[in-house]
Amino acid sequence: MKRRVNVIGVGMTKFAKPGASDDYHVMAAEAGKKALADAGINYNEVEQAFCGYVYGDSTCGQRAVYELGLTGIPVVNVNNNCSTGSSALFLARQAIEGGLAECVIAVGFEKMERGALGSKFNDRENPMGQHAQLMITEQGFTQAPPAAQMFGGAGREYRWQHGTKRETFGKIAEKARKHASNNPYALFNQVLSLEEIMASEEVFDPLTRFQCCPPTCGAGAAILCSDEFAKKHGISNPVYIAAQAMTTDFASSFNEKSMIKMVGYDMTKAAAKKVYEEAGIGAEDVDVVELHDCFTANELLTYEGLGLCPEGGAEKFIWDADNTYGGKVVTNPSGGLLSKGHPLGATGLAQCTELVWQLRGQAEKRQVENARVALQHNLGLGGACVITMYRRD
Amino acid sequence: MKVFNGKTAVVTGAASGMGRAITLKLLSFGAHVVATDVNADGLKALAAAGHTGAGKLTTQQLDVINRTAFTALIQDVAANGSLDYLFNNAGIAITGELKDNVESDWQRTIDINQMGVLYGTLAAYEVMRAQGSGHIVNTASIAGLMPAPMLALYAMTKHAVVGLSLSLREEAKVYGVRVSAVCPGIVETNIVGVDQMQKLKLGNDSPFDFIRSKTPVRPIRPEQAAEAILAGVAKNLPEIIFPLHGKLAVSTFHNARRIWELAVAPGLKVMRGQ
Repeated sequence: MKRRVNVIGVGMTKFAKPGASDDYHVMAAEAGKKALADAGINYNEVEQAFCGYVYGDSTCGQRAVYELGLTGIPVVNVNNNCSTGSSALFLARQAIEGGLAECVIAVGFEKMERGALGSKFNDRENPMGQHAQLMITEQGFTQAPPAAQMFGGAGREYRWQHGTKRETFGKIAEKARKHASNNPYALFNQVLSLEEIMASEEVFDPLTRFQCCPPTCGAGAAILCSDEFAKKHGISNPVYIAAQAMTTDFASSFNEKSMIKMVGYDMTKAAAKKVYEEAGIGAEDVDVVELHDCFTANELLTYEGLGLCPEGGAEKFIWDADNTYGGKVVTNPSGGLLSKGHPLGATGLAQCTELVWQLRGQAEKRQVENARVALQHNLGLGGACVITMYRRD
Repeated sequence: MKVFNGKTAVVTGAASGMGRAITLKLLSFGAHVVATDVNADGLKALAAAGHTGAGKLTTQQLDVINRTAFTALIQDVAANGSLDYLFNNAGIAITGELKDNVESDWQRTIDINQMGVLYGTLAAYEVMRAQGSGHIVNTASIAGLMPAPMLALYAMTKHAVVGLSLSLREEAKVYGVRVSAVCPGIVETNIVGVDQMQKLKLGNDSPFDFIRSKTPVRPIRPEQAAEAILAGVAKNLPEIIFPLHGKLAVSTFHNARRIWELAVAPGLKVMRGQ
């Protein structure tokens, strides 16, 4: 019997550019303390910790939560590329749902270096070797950052299939900046015009510089618990996880000669389907979404992968402003990865934090009116996709 | 060349010669090429040959003298994403002394080389102004920068292309649109057809063999021409003049007219069969 999983506390740091942040354990402690305070519980009530980060030596997770207390609890370190944070959340949810614990914490943090992502271990098989091979066969290899080539290549494939304007991608970045201008936790608070976005340096057609998420430092945390635990602590009507699914690559990532498939379109689609079925709530009932906009191209693809618009309908969806306040569904009210920033390990928990605030009506200037159903999409190449649906009654 | 990656280019006269070479090179750089030609079979062969590039190839038959069709094609490409480059490459050359050219020769040369380029330029300029970006690349010739005896009609239209392109280049700057004129020297293409060649009294040699054996000029292959053209386009050069013999011929004409005349005279004699 699966138990309901509640999210009773969330917290995050203000995201910062590399070199301008605290050390990872300090950031993680800040997010963790905020989440504990938000839940109104003590760390010694937490039975397990799931800690997500990509860059760092082994057991950074312990070092981070030791700042919260030395209670001897199990601490598991999680690394799943850009979906690391929500992978930690996935394990935390399983622990509660399966009855293995009453209260757990998921923490995600990242201290990133300047510049584009690269690989650190070049003396062994690259975990993205198969992905890279497909890309090289399909579109060659250029000087652009590899992730931009992959997602940009998928965007290009989409453009050539559907005849999409470059500005359509730019519009996504314009919206992201606009949303982020209301988010004090975001890295970029400055709005940008579509012209400025389009005029910025081309990274990999159709992506310009302002359509790529920046390397970021930050941390996020969430406290998950059972109904019994919430009741015992007098927490009424908490936000809960209506459904959650994780997918990894299917054969289609590699055998369909498609960049769109290689960057995880089918992972998104399959995870979304599972979540909608399990929750009994479809895309049309979602009020607010935090989705993985590492590049504008991926946000566009994800609209369709999540079923927020029909396949091939993203361009219309964007120009009709159906992706923002006053439209069909507000996507990335936080500013998303593009503008809030993308500290790999923290992103999944920052998305969770934003959505919990939205469902509680605590998102201030970013508040989506009457938000009842929220959807989180976090995707990592390599690959893993975690989709979580949150609700509040 | 990174600048062509992901871009959409229309190429006219793409079934053979420089147009075909430009098409294949653009595909190798990751562009989406809409390859057009009046010769539908040639386009079919181009599509059937396939390519190993990262780009995408679309073919569509087009006679550049059909202004309505040309404009519609340009607007269609732009409406389906963007039009980033137009290579107005299609052209013909009718040889022989002007006194022997007939009215249909003038008319065809002007229609294809001059009006065709103008139609494409006008259509592309309109959509590119709206986009605020784009590059119109008009194929002229070194015969657009200096005389070409025995190719007077050709030289007339190629001068027109240079004049059009370089004038528009300045007007277009304010709209973010680029214009360049391509001025190749001798490239081994079939622009001068076999029947045309026979009018020139070159004996049994292929014209390019003849040039190689009898003159210091070294004709280049279309692939080399395409390389030079795209490098020039990437740098947004006003005139893209190549190869070395082309540059030398033009500069000799402008700076040392007497030497140029002396160099041309023997060739003329040969072509007249004297």
